Amino acid sequence: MGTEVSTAGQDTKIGQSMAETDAVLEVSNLKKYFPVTKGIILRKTVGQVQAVDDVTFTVRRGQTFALAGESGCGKTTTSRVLLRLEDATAGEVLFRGKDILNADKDLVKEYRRSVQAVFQDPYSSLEPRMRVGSIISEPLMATGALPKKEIRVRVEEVLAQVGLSPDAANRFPHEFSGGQRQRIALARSLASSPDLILLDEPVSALDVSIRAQILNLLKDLQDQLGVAYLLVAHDLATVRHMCHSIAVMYLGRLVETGSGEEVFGNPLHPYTKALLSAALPSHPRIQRAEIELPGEVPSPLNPPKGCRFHPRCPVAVMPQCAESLPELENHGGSHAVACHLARSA
Amino acid sequence: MVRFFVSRGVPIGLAFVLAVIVYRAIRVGFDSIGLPAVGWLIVLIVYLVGRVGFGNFFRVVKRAPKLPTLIIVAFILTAILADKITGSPYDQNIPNRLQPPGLMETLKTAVREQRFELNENWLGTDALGRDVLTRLVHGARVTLTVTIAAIMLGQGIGLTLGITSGYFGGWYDKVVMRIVDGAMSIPGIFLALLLAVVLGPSFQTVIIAIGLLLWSRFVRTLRAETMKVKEAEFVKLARVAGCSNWWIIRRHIFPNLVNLWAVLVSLEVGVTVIVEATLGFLGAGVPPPTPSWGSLISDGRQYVTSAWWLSFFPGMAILLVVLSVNLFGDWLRDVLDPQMRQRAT
Repeated sequence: MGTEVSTAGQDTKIGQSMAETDAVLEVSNLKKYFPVTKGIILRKTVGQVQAVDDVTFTVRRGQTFALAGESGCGKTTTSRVLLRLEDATAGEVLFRGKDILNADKDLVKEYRRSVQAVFQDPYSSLEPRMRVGSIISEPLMATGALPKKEIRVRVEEVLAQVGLSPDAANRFPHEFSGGQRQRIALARSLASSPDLILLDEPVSALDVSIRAQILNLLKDLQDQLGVAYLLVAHDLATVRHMCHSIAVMYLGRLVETGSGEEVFGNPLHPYTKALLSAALPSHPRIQRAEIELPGEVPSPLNPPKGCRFHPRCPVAVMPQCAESLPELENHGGSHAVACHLARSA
Repeated sequence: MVRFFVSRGVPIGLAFVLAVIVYRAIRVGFDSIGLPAVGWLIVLIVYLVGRVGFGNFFRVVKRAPKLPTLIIVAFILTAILADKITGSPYDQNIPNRLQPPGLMETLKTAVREQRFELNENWLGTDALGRDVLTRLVHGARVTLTVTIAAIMLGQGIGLTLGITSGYFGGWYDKVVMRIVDGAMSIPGIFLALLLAVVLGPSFQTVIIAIGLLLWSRFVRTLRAETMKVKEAEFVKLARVAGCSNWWIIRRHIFPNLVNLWAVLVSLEVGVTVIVEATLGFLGAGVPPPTPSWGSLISDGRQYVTSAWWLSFFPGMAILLVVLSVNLFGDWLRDVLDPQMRQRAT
């Protein structure tokens, strides 16, 4: 088993040499295609939406891995597949070395206990008819992780960890504000002491004034509990604040991966550069050249031939940009880029 | 163990005993249900008070619409205790036939002749000299039993099929929905008449006919709502937390359907009473001489110009009960929603 893990690790193109901490979640060559059907009675598949195509990355214990990209790039679909809410078309997902896409019942149960999620909308992600205490204890009750007597204590414990008072447990979600609700959602995800929490745009539905609080809370909890985060976000400021490593997605494919410093300090892919230049600077007086991308994101139903980014790429000059699909290639350290130009440079 | 009994045992027990009472009322006769039914009501109220808490219970009940609640309670008690408060509905007194309502006659003699003479037949007598009030009171029994039994049957089938087909979807959903389409295309009255011909007009036939008329409406509405609730983030999070399908249906889907369900039931009570009356009117209802509200109206039809009271009072009774149940249902919907409940109290 152990050898299998290490070979799977070497296959992933994100620099495995840097691995000091062990991997919690290893995703390799994950694909999710949605069939597009026509006809009411005789359904036939007329095409496929390539929502996630050949995605490979590793989330390490106690670290934050960010999946960034604009809306529609497949980052949320990836997270849904990882949560087993959708079936993958192809690929492999190893959780602590065990394949969870074809897992048996016991392993699924263990996975459910060890992986939790926080979603974007704090309003629809809390059951309006349950009291906060029941909402938080649900993961414990459902998997039988704790004896019933200890559940109450545990609920108060996680409420304290997210900075809410114990009597919040007896109230209904609609009595709380958006930020408090997101704290409740976080408390729920912490209840079963998971190894990995998937944060799907955890702060983008919140007021700017509350975002920093929640992000700092997330960081503090990570320091205290050693939980790993898989952060799905479109907001690069959030990502930069939180992540240890990052993968940038465009139209279902990873275009650049690496540690936070590598990608933010030295972006190599033109799309990453454009994204970074679009993020607001920390001070309004700071002058910078903004890279404007022409056109719209093409349809994933019919992705462009060659590099998926080439129709919008400001620097796509090489003929192979329109012909062959670039693979992720290592550019030192854990930094990998899928771009023909980066290689030639 | 005790907790389990209180939280699960009592509702299951209450539902079971109600089923037995209704069964006895249908098969053995109404005279045998008086005491058990009153006992059942008392247990129900004690259980509800215990469950919600004394203070909460009265705070909620205080906001109930007063007149409709009073009418419903009076209707139920009248039905249960019919043989205790009036005589036999079958006693004929031919010389005393077609007497106008006694209350009015008493009033007339009091005004015209300054003489107080209490007339026995408060609401008059029918063509065979039977007391209309007695028959109305006993008719309430038939109406109540038919209503409860038919709704239990219809909503039982409808809720089960509606939730399962909405939740699981796929070919099962398709099969169920086509059956529902078929059931809805058959006119209810036609189905009831057909059943009356095949099975012979009887109490059970009426219940089955109305139950078969109702179930498809429940399926349609509850399926649609289930599909909506199923897509909510909190259901996805429940799956991430490792909740089983049965758990999700019980803890998330049903609680979010419950106010729609309460409104449907209260609306269908009105429909049931009216359909039962229609069937009685058409001669396919509960066979004479058993009084039901519909057959009372039907019997009075030929005397409508000379003895208006024969049809008028049963008609008023139907009107009042249906209206009260609908108003009560509206209130119930608000009470079952924690957000609305707190706004209301």
